[in-house]
Amino acid sequence: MDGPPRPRRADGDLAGTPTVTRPVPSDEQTRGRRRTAGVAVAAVLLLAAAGATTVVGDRIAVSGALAAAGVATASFAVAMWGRDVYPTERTHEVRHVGAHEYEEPVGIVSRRAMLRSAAGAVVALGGAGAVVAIAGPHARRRLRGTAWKPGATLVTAEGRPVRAGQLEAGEILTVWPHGHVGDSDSQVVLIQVDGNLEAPRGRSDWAPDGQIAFSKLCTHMGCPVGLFDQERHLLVCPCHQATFDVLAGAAPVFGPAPRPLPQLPIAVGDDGVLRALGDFEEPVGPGFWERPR
Amino acid sequence: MSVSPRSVYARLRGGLDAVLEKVFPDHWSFLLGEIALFCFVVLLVTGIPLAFLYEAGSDEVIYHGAYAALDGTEMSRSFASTLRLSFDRSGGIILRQAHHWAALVFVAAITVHASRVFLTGAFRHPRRRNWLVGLTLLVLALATGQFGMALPDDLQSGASLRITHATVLSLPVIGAPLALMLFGGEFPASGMLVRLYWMHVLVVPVVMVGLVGLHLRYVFRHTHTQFADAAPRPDRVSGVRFWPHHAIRAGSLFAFTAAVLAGLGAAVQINPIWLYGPFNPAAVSAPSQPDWYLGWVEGALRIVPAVDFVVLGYEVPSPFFAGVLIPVVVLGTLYVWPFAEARLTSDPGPHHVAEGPTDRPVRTGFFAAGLVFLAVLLAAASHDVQARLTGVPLEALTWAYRIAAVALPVASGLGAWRLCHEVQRTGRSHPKPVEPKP
Repeated sequence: MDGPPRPRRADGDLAGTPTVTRPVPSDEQTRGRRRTAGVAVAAVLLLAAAGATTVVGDRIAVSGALAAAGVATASFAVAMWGRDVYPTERTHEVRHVGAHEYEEPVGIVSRRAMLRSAAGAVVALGGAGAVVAIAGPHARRRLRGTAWKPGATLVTAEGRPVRAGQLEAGEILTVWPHGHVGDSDSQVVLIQVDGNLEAPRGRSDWAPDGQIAFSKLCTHMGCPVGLFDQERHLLVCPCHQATFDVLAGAAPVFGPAPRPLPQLPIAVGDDGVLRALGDFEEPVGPGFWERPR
Repeated sequence: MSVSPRSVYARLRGGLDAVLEKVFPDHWSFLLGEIALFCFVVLLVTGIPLAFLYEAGSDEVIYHGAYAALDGTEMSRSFASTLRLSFDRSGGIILRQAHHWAALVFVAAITVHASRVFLTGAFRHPRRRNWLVGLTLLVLALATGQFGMALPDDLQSGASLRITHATVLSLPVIGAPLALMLFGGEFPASGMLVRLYWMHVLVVPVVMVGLVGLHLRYVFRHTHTQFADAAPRPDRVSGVRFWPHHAIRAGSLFAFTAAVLAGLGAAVQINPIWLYGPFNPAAVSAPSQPDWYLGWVEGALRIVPAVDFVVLGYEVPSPFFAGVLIPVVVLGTLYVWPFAEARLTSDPGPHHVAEGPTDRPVRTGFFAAGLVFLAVLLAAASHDVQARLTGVPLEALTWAYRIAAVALPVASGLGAWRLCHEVQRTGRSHPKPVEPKP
């Protein structure tokens, strides 16, 4: 408690040592320390419970939550202990507010600022030019066509050719050109329509017997348009709810899509299998700067 | 300048003493930035083991592991490694979920902290550069959150990545080649995941650590702002010393933050990629939403009407306006605000006194308008779910959001401005700030 025994004089007084008196804690301080101790005990109990549920139980969510609660409570205990042991003593620090802190005066555009902006603009333009020069031709070529060629067979994801009349009225199927199953750009939805198709000009023979095919890539941002409202013959894109009317050439009737889904011209082959008559007449998917209009 | 060990030690010691003696003003709102910092630390601490456990790759593998529903299924290497670290490594799922929760809370903490800085005018000279650094940290946090979200290569994040791709594509002139360069090919390019991995795990975190260091250094050098009623003299910061008072407070706050994030990671499910399934370029699940901090962009993409502009025979596609223009305007306004305000109020001088929000009605009005605008966009991000739950037709709901996105910010901006004037009229919430003479 007090260290090695000190020499005592005859009258019992401790020789030569200064008398140390600990300040008596006030009621407020005692209450504070008791509160801190209470919180610390609560933390320990929570951590013990966490340990117990780890050993005995199987639910890591429960053990984890208890452990987290225990650490959180312990953090409170630490903060309260800090306040008990080190009562807040306010001090101050001088700020260095000097004339040299002023930057260039406001209201006059300094030459340095103008040079910096000019240099930044040159770098940005140069970078953009470099990007276009490096990848431009490649981009323009790649974005024009898909894997659909004249005579390409429509196949399902399993690779099975789609026969004419295979789909029921109102049914929808995702198809690809034979040999290119899974190719993102070439994905197509094939729908068996039972209503009156309004074929856009020049496309009257693109949809034999109500079997109509559109690119599945939304013309807004390229998400696969997979939701089909059978009653209203609407294709809905799940990403931003662009809605296309299948009976009107997949024209957008609502939502942020600006253009109809490109239609794939299909016909029934001699063997009864559905085949494409050629590629889409326009690029599929979202728009871009050089998109041919 | 001598480089002897003694002088180096003396300088280090001096630096250490400066840190230990640093005075921290003790308003509760000044701790918000620290919470963001602690979230960042948790992100690093959970991210490093995840970076070792995760394998990036879009080549197809067959998963064999503890998750029975997908056992034997073909999937990308990224998805399989995420499944494995979630189910076959003990504690892996907690790491993943704690990391994801920490990211969500991190951006929220930055947003609240930035709001405090904005409303108290703590971005003014000499702290304008620090404001730029902080804003850049926010932008990088959004970006790296998006990159990290895409690493498991699941159905949802694949759709999100496709939307990012279309946004880059919509840029005039450079859109198509830039998208090709960034993604390494047409979407979905085979090298995409590896690039995202290195950006998320190395490039952006290193830059962010550097910027956080710069951010703290600026605060240290410029000293923290303080409300006028807490500072007896405006040219002094009044508060508690770092050691031991503030260190104990900060330490306990760190323990609390880490505990909350770990608790969320252990107890609350987030991003259950096994339910979404592996990425398939021909499918996307509905409903589909990004993480909350990108909800404002998602909402904009849904409610901005379809419009393709034609410029000189070239196309500026529809996603440009909601996906590029709106974010650029919002972030651009935030970036130039300190400089614009200094010029418009003809008030360039250094400011070290924090103002109350009601002391600056115009600034607070703009803040309210901006916040409500972003909130309306965020609410619009799930409008298909709302339409289904309430029975309101989607078209009507979309129009309601379009009107709200214009009307509500104007109304709340004006309302906040009036409210501030009312408070000023009836009684000041803080004493009028007295700036020190230079």
